[in-house]
Amino acid sequence: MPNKIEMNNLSQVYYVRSGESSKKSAFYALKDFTLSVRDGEFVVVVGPSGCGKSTLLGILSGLFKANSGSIAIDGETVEGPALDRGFVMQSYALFPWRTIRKNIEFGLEIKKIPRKERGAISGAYIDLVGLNGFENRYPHELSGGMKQRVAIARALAYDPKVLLMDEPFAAVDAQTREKLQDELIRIWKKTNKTIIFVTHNIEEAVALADRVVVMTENPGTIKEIVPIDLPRPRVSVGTGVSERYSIFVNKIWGLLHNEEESFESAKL
Amino acid sequence: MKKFSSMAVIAAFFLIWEAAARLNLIDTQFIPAFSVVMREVFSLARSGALFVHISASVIRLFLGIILAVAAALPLGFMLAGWTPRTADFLNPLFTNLSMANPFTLIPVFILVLGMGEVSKVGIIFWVVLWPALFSTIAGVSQIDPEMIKAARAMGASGTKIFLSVILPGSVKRIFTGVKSSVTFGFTVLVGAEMIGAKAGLGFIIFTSNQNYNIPRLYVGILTIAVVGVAVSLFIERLQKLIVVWEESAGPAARETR
Repeated sequence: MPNKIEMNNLSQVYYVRSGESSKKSAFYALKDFTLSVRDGEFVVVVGPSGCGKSTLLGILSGLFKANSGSIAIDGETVEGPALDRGFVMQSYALFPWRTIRKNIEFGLEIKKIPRKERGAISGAYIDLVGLNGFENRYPHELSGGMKQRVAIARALAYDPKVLLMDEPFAAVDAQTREKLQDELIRIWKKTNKTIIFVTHNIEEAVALADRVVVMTENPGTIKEIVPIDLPRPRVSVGTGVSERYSIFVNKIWGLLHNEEESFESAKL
Repeated sequence: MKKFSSMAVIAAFFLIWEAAARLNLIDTQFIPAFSVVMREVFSLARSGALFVHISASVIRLFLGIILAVAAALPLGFMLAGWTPRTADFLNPLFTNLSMANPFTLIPVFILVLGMGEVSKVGIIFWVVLWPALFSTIAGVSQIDPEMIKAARAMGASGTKIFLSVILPGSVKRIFTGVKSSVTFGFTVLVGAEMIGAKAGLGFIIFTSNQNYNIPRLYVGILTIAVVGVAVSLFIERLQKLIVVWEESAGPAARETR
């Protein structure tokens, strides 16, 4: 099967003033970033803040253009934002003047889907994220976790090929986060979307991913790709955490902290 | 309950007024009894003169508001959207212009625009224009950029972003700016009508004073108060009709489900 997404040699440089010298130095948010993602794969990108993982999503969404390199989805080069990608942000970014239903229908309006069909589609996605009974509420009436479910439904409603998620669960409490992770896996299995998920939370990465892409900072590049072959459903907290889960977490922790030995000895 | 008690306070005020006049506690030459004033209200209403004056003022007011908003919105959106730096640069000027006491400008408006409608509508236009302009700029600049990002990521066109994000995102702030200036605009209008006009609520005050028709003077005072309250209630209603959502972006409530 051909790959869903091909990222080829993506580079993004910013010139920043460093220290007291007036000379600007190059900051490589991304450097020669190359990654192929299979159809229906769940890829999680982890890295320290400033490693370019959000830049990567920005470029994937088409909101920014990379200095060099290219992206293709299903063989078609990405030129700008389009409805073949859904974008979920940490801050939800719901429209406060729209009801939940109307928020979810935003992309459908852009897609020029007739009003009648919009209602049926938004209804199905409200159902998918478990927000039945809330369709006519406004965002301010919802909790953080519920808002993020709306944002996910909004990004899925227009049926994109790829779902891009930028630290979507970073603003909710631990309990809600865990629940949302389970929900996301359920939704992913049901919709078979290809997901690129960015986080700085290692436990979250291991709980969700088929593969974890570990990035380094300046230059923002891939340090290692760790396939997570743990069976699902995975338990990420509490007493149910398996030994192998912890080994993956430790390995990625080690990669991020440059402690080569700690995972050499872990023997996966 | 609150409504009832506030009505009761107002009724009590009129009762005390009436009683004070009847008991000769006040000089009825200067403050006629409430019943005398009301009789004058009915006679002016029966002749239709009262409504001529009310509608003259209200039409001026709303014409001025509509023109000011129609000028301020496009200008504000253009300044804030295309040249935010110019908007920042000009904002102190707008603030200063809105601070200029419009009462002092009434003679200027009458000098330049004449005694007729244009000068009255013009003064309302002036009073509403500046707050409407800078609340539009403020409204646009306080829109969460993440919302615009979300819309852009879905491939929304510029028109779609303007109509579905910028416009609804700033309308609440614009309303707040316009609402406060409308009540003030009405006050200034009455002042302008007292200095020079052929009809209007301020004109009632002016002519009653000139003709020493004291009951009619009080008719003017009461009518201006009632119309003022009605106008601000109307704007309030209009806002509630348009802005049905809450914008508090406070910390997200905990998951309860």
